[in-house]
Amino acid sequence: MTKKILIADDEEYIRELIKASLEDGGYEISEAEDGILTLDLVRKVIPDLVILDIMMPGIIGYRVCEEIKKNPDTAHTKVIFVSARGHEVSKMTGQMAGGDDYLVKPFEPQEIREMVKKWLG
Amino acid sequence: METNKDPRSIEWLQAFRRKLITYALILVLAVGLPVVGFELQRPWNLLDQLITQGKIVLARLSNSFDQQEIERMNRFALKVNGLTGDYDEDYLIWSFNLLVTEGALPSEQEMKATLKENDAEPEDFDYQKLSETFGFWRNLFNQEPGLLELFQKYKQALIDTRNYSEQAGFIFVDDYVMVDDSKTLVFLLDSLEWYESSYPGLYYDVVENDCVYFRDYLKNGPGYDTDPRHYHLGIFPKFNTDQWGTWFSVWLAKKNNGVYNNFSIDFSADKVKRMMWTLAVLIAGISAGLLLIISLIARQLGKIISAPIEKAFMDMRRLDEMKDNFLSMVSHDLRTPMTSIKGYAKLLIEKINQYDEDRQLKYLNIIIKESDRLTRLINNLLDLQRFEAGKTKFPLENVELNGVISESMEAFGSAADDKRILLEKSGPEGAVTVYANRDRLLQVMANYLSNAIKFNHEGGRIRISLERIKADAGEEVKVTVTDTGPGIPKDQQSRLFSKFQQVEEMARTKGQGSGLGLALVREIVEFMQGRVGLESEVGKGSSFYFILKAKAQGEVKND
Repeated sequence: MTKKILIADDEEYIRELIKASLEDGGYEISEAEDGILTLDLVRKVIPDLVILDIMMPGIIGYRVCEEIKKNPDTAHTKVIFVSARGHEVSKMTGQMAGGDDYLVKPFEPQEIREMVKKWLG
Repeated sequence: METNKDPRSIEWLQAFRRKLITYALILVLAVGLPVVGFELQRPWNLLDQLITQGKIVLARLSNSFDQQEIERMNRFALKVNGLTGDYDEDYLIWSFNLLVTEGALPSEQEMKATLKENDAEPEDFDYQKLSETFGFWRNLFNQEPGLLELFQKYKQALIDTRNYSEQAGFIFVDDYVMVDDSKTLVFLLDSLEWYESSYPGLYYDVVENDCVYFRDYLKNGPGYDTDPRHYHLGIFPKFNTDQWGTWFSVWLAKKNNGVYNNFSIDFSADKVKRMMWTLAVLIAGISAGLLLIISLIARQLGKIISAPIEKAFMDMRRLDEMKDNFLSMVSHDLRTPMTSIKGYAKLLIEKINQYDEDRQLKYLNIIIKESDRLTRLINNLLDLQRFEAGKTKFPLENVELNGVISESMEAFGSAADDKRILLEKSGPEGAVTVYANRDRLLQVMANYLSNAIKFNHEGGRIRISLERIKADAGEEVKVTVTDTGPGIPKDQQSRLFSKFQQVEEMARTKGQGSGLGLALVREIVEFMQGRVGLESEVGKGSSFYFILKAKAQGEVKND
């Protein structure tokens, strides 16, 4: 079955970059550009994995992650934070919010591919 | 609570202040208590010393008067009270003395000679008065047979005692000091010290148990309290041999006050103890009060001294936090375009053969755009730093605002079209001139417009309005860029133009050069003597404006 991935980032080029990096994986990819849209889409699509930016307009990434993990329908959904914030504190906050992994910008296409593979098998 | 060990921390400073106060208190106590203690035991020490050195001796005035004789002298004193009103007191004392010691009044010549000899002749010596008062006494004594002899006997006893003490090497002190409170006691003991240093010896009376009784030589004199537990204290200057003067002062006191005891107060062992305790409690109380006051003053002083330091620490800490936020924001804003540049470059290298030409061009264009963004960001950053260091100066000249607005609208026309945003302008046409820098004004407009486009929804509107406003200091021009975006909460508006923004705000207002752009706008406009601001309501959009002083039309041509 095709795995569903949601890419949430307010930067269009970053979304496109992630999408292009994953295009050979045969995933079904959807996109959201702010926290509110992300939550709407997550409820609608029930993705297997969300690649989540932390500093997004609307609702901050940590909160989005909490909401995803709280909802029983999407509790199984893996969340990878992708953020420019590389500090340990940010990573810990991500973990506490329920995030499964954390990728610091700038990242390479190979890195995101491997991380997605790791969580989706 | 564990104390912060960092000497820059406020906790450390507060702990340091507490320690300082404690040490100061301990120091004051360490110095103050021994002093208080020493002061408390000083009088007793002095007495001990005097006793050990034998300066206080048992030298009783002869007990040669019985109760009847004492009562008789008392009665006589009372009788005299009512009779002496018509006479001069000095002559009364004088003649009384003559009667008791000589038994007769010397002739005027003899009297004058004696006075001259003693260098004591009063300038207005009146033999007549002396003779009258002498007669007065003689009449009184004639009415009471044997009384004169009684006084003569008493006088002789005094002379004997004096002789005895002088032979024994002591000073027969002859002045009357009454003790009725602790203050006088201290004064008295200090006086003893003075007498002790001034004369080779002292004459005291009785030492009994652990208390000292000073018994005056009038103890068996007229009006004296005969209770053996109540002794009168008397210290008498040595060279006044006129003991009758003393007797008369007691008598006069009695005459004036009617109560002898007002003048001569009981001085018993219990009373001494009570007095010393009162003294001790008093001194201890005063010392404690002083210590309290000193510590309070020290505390206040400490606060006053450390307040500015504490404030400086707090400011430093806040600056630190702001710097952290700033760095985290700059880092974020640098990393985002970096991610795109590096990511797309990697993709192109990986899959150059898979991608068609369109896609290759698209990615290359993204790389160029993001590089531009990075450049702009770095320029902004450097600009801002230069502004803050006061190094940025740009020339000011007359700038026509409508032209600036038109140019920036053209520049952002395609970006607005991409999001189907309507760009419109309102306000007076024709020349609206301000004293500014054209390039910098374009930079300000670019910031406002790019934000307005970025945060606007698809199909929204942006209106640029130009207004002239009247102000106290002359006419001003206000340029406002209003969008139909999500708006900014009130509590976050004030910080928007600051270089440092909290993460929460960044999450909402994130964008190209977020924060930095507006901070730079403020620096630029303030350099032009203008001001910036915004009005916004959540859900209704935001209006960012800047206000500059208008140039009068006439001035434009002259400039």
